[in-house]
Amino acid sequence: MLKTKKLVPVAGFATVALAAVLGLTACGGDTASTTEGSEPSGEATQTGMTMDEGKIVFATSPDYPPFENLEDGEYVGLDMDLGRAIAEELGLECEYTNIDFDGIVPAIVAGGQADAGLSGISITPEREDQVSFSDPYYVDNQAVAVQGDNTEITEDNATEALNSDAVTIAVQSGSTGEDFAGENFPNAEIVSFPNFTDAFAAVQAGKADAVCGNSAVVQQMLAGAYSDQQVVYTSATGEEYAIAISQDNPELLDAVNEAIATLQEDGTLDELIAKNMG
Amino acid sequence: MRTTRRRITAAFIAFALCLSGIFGASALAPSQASAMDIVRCTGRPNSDDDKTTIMGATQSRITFEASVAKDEGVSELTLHIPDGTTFGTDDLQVTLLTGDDLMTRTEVAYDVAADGQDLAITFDEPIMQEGHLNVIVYDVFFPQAGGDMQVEATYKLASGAEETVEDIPAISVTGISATEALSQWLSEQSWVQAWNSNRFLRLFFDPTILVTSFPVVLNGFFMSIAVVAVAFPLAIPLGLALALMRLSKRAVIRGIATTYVNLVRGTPLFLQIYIAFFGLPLAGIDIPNFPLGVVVMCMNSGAYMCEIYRAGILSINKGQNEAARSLGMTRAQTMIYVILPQMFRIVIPNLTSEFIVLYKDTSLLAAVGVMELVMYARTIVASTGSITPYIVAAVFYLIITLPLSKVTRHLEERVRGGRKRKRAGSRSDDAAKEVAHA
Amino acid sequence: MPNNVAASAAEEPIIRIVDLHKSFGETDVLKGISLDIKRGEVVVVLGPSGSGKSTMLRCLNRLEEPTAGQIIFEGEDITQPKTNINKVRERMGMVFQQFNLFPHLDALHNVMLAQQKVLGRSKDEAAKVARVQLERVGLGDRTDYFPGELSGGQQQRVAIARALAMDPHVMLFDEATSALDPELVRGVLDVMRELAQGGMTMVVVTHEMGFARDVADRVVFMEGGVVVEQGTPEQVFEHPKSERTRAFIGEVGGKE
Repeated sequence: MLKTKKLVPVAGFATVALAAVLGLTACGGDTASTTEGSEPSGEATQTGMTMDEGKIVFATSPDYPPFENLEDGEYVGLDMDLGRAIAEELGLECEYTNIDFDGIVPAIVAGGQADAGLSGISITPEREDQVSFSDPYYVDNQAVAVQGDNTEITEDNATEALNSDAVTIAVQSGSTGEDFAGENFPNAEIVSFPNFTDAFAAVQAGKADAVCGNSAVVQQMLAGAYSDQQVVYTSATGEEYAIAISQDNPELLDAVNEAIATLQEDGTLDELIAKNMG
Repeated sequence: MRTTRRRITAAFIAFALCLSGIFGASALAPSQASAMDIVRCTGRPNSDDDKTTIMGATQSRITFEASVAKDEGVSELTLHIPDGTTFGTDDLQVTLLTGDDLMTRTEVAYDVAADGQDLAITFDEPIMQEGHLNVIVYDVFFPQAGGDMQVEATYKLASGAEETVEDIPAISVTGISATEALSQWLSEQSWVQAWNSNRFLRLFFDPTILVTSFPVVLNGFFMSIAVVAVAFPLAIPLGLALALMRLSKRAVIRGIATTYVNLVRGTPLFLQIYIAFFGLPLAGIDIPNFPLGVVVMCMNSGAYMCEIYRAGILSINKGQNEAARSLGMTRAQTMIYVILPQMFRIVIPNLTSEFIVLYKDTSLLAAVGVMELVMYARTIVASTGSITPYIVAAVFYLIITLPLSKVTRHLEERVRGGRKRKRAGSRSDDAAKEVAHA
Repeated sequence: MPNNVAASAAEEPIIRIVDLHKSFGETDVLKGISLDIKRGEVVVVLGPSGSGKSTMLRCLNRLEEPTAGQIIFEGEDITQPKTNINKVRERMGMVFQQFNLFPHLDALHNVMLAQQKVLGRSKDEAAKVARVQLERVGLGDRTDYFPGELSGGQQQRVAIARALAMDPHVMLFDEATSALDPELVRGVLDVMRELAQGGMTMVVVTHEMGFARDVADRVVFMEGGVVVEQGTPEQVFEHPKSERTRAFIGEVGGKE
């Protein structure tokens, strides 16, 4: 796993996140704590309601090892461990709900289905327009992988070879990888899959030439089921993973940030990273 | 790298002139001389329509990356953002990428000052390390008209020398579409703002997203229509062949068709799509997405149609068969000229329903990267967080399914209401030749 | 069992039925029928329902497969497996109780279809024949009517025309008037009568005693899967030998 370091706190992020929370809670109407009800299907209900029942519900797309994955029906991975640790800090029961990645931010915006999105979500200003982000807990980069026997695209020529109209790049719908591929390989055809695993399957099946996504996940996929693929391109985009929380729910944001800080201080977060990235 | 350089000092000019003789032959040596060389300068695509288009007047960001030579001590970088482009400085991200693979990120401490179109970044410490300096400018809005956006960059070295980063690629920006313009106009209207202040209305019926998603989702509509428009007509003969096989006297033929129909009808279409898209290529059968999608939908629909036809054929009075056979017609002739024409009239309502089902089921192809209705809507939902594009997609389904359902009901009534058909009008010569019978 | 008609015939019968058996599962419907039908003869088969008379008729063109026995049609044993039954059926017209017109075709095309597909007649020729036959059954002005637009009697006359257009050597009528409203029966019977007068060989299963009396050359009375009695209409109606025949004729109003 790649070592990344952060020297200066990202002042910009913090400011905007705070501004977003403060500014937009005003138009959001009722605050979470005043609402009641437990029907997850209730339309446009306020977030945070499930916390009244002593549990916190995270939306996650379990197709993203080592962050979130389903193993024998169990939610495993760094994010999943983190979610449980945070819930424990908050004295809440932890629950996961499975939502396709590109539907998580909309689900948090709409509310009702989950209290927070925990699914390897990178902080971007666009997403910050829609949701609040916790303090980041992990920094990741972009990577592009191809089939090992691909002689057209190699580590040496990847920058140019990927940016060709003959190339199809598989990405996850709504991911930063999708943006990255579109921005840096504008000549290639970008094909989006709701499920990231399917993007790898597409490359294996020859339906796409390359797959682009977060580095840690690409590495993990290649270490597992897709060992015949190899990374040909990486870019240190330094995306910060954070937990997405409704802008209407600053109480939860504060609580989660506090929990993350505690977990960082007592070394739990590093332990979890070591455990899942090992 | 082909470069031409302007230097302030005479020495540099002389050096450059000297080199110009071997300009094409040796390109590497002189470019090593500059402290910063451009690596990339890109804008973030922001179109819902496709993932590589950068539109004007829509939020984007500029990523500027240049290599920094060792020990040059770059102390200040000034980016000149093209005229007409606005940008924010709050989210500015400045990172130095180092290491062999440039994968080590070093946040750089800096001050930033914006002066008109100039964005000046002053580093607390001059950069001595070798690496790539990566600057991301957020909240960028390119001019509405679009065009090639040329970012310019100058930098100061510790020595005090001021230099220019050469050959920065221009960012190609597409002019804003009419609907985008309409959307932006809408977003400024007070009634729209009032409308959107209601959480429910904003989430489901945001007018600004409504107008922008319409043309985008329309692309998916064409794709979905294209899939059914090809798959459905192909499924008709397939289903017919299967139905005839199932009615065959020969057990083997009957068995093949029955097995096929049971397999297809007994498993979810979703699963069949996965198997076809990810399984077939592994078996060495490589078919491009669109035809493959068509084939899967067709093969699935064929099985359902088989049962529709079979029921239709079985519902036809046995006397029809006997009458035809008693006239000396073969089984095949009876089927072709007597049974099937009647069967088709009976099954048209069911076939219409099957068409509706097939049309709706094209949405399942979203899972395997076919850009159909739902997939287009999804992309916009992911980037806007509003459910509105789904509502737009629903409208595109309904404009096909609602009229067809009505037609189906009408046809069902006709079929149930007997086989009476309107006469084409009697011919007078026949009438004249009428022979009276007792 | 009397068989005097066959005995007196010098000519080879057009249809010879020899010891015909038919059973549906456990039920024996025909228990050994032997019958000769001469060329040009009109044979009316009478009998209570369930007597097997329709089944016998349907065995003649093998719409029902005989269980045992022989059917010799124009010198050929058509119960043999190698028989091309389609070729046989070209020469054997059949009219059904339920008409069985093709509802998707108008009257003209109902009559044309088999001519074109089976006899290979051209469209023009088939249409010409069809018009002649429809004229013959009194429906020359209904050629472009669809079955659904015709009365039951008209439909049955179209069905007769359809069979006649194939130039059959024998016509089989399976209760051709039983499904008709009483006022429509007459038109159909008139057509059948004319056909008989024209010399057509006909085997008619019916309940129409009047028709049997007036038109039949021979009346065959069946019951319980066997031929109980046969003879001229006068013999059978006026001097039935069998008690069962007498009872049946009394019941259905043979005196009419």
